Amino acid sequence: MRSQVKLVALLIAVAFASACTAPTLTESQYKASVVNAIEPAVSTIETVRLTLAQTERHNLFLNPMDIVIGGQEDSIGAVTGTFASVQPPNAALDEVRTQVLDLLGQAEDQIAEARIQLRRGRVGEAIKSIDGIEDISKALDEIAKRYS
Amino acid sequence: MKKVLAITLGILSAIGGFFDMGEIVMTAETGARFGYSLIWVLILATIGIILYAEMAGRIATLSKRPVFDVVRERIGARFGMFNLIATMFINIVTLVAEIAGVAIAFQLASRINYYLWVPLVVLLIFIVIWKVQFELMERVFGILGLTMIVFAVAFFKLGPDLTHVAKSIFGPDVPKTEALATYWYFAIALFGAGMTPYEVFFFSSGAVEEEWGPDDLAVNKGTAIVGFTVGGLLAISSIGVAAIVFLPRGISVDELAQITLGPATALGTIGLIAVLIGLFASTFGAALEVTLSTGYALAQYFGWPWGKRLKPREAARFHLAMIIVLLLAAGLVLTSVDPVKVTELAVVFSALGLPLTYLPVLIVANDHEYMGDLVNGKFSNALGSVYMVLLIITSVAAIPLMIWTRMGA
Repeated sequence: MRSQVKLVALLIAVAFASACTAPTLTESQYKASVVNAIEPAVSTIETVRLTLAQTERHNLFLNPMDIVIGGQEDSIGAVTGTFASVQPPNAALDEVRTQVLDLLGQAEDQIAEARIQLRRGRVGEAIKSIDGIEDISKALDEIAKRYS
Repeated sequence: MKKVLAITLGILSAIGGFFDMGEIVMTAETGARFGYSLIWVLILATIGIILYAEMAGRIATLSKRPVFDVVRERIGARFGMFNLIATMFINIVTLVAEIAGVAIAFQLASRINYYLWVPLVVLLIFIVIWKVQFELMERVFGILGLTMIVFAVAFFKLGPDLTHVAKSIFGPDVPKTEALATYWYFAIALFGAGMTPYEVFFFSSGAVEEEWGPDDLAVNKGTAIVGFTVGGLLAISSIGVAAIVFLPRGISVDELAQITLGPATALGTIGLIAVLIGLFASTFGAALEVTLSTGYALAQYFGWPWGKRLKPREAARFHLAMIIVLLLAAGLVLTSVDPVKVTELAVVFSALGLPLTYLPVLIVANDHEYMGDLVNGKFSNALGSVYMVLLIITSVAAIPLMIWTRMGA
C-alpha cells in the first residue's frame, strides 16, 4: 500500500515537472516554430519602418506614433521570449536558433532605441537608430522561406 | 423637410453604428492578410443588415413595441430566455471591445496608458446615457463617426487598381500564403461583424424611443438602406487601405494603434487626426449603443419600464442593469485582455448567435397580427430565407473554424 502511494506521488511529481518545461519538438515542428516567430517579427520591423518613414514625411504628431512603436517593441519582445523557450530537437538546428535569436535581439534593440529617440521628439535620430533594420528583415525572411 | 432631416440624421447614426470596433479591427486585419479577396463578404453582410434592420424597424414602428418584446410574446418565454442569455453574452464581449477601443483612442492622443482611461470612459458612457437625450446622443456620435470617411478618401488617394478590386469581388482568390480554413474563418468573422445583433436591437428600440408611427416607414427604409450602405462602403475602404498599405509590406494588424497608419500614410496629419476622432466617435457611439441595447433586451424581456424618454427613477431596473453591465465590461477590460483578440471573439460569438437574433425577426415580420397588411413581401421573404440559411451555416461553422485555425493565426 505504501509503495503504491509512493508511486502515485512520484507520478504526480513527474507530471508537475514535465509541465514546467517546454516540450521537445520534432524537426518539422521546430522549423514551423521558426517560421511562426519570424512572420510576426518581420511584420513588426516593417510596421516600425513605415511608422518612422511616414512620421518624417508628413511631420506627424508624435503621440500616436510613439504608441505604435512601443506596441511593436512589446510584440517583438514577446516573440523573442516565446521562441527562445523552445528547445531545438538537434544540434543542426541549434545554429538556426542562435541566428534567429541574434537577428530578433538586434531588431528589438534598434526598435527600443527608435522609441526612446521618438519620445524625445528626435525623429531624425529615431530613423538613424533603425539603420540596417531592413537587412535584418530580409535575413529573417530568407530563413523563413528556407523553412516554410 | 422634417422627414428629410430625420432620414439624413438617421443615416448618419446608421453609418456610425455599422463601422464599430469589430468592423475597424476585422477589416484592417482582413485587408492586410487577404487583400481585396473578402470584400464580397462585406457586401453580403451589408445587404443582410439592411434587410433585417428594415424588418426590425418596421415591426417596432407598426406594433409600437421593439423586437425583443415581440419575440418573447410570439416565440415564447423559454426560447426568449435562451435568446436573451446569448444576447447578453455577445453584448458584454462586444462592450469590452468597444470600451477598450475608446480607451486606446485616448491613449493614442495622450500617451497615457489605456488602462488608466477605462474608468473615465465608463463614467463618460454612464453620464451620456443618464443625461443626454436619445436623439442628441445618436446624432452627435453619428456625425462625429462620419470622420471615418477618411478611410474612403485615403483609399482613393492611395490609387487603388479598381479593375483588380472588381475582379477580386467577383472572382475571389485565396492568397497562396493563407490556408483555406483561415480564409473562411475571416469570412465568418467579417460577416458576424457586419451583422452584429446589437445593431438591430438598437435600431428597433430607437424607433420606439423616437415614437415612430406608420408615417415614418419611409424614414425607416431610407435610414436602413442608405445608412448601412455607406457604412458598408467605409468598411470596404478600410479593407482597401489595409490591402494597399500593409499587405505588400508583410504587416499583420495585431494592435489597434496600427490602424492609424493607413490614413496617415495617405493623407498625413489630417488623415491621422480624422482617424483618431473617428476611432473615438465610432467606438464610443457603439459602446453607448451596446450598453443601451443590453438594457433594452433585459427590460423588454422581463417587462420592466424602459427607455431614455423615461426618467431614471421611472425606469430604475433598466438603468441599474446598464450600470452593472458597464462595470462588468470595464472590469474585464482591466484584466488586461488583448482588445484585438476580444474584438475577434466578439465577432465570432456574434456569428454564432446570428440565427437566434434574426429568425424571430423574420417570423414576426410575417405575422399579420402584429404587422397588419405590411407583412414581408415575397421578395423580402425569399431574400430573408436565403439569408437565414447563410446565418445558420455561419453559426454552425464559427466555433469549429475558430478552434481549427487557432483564431485565424
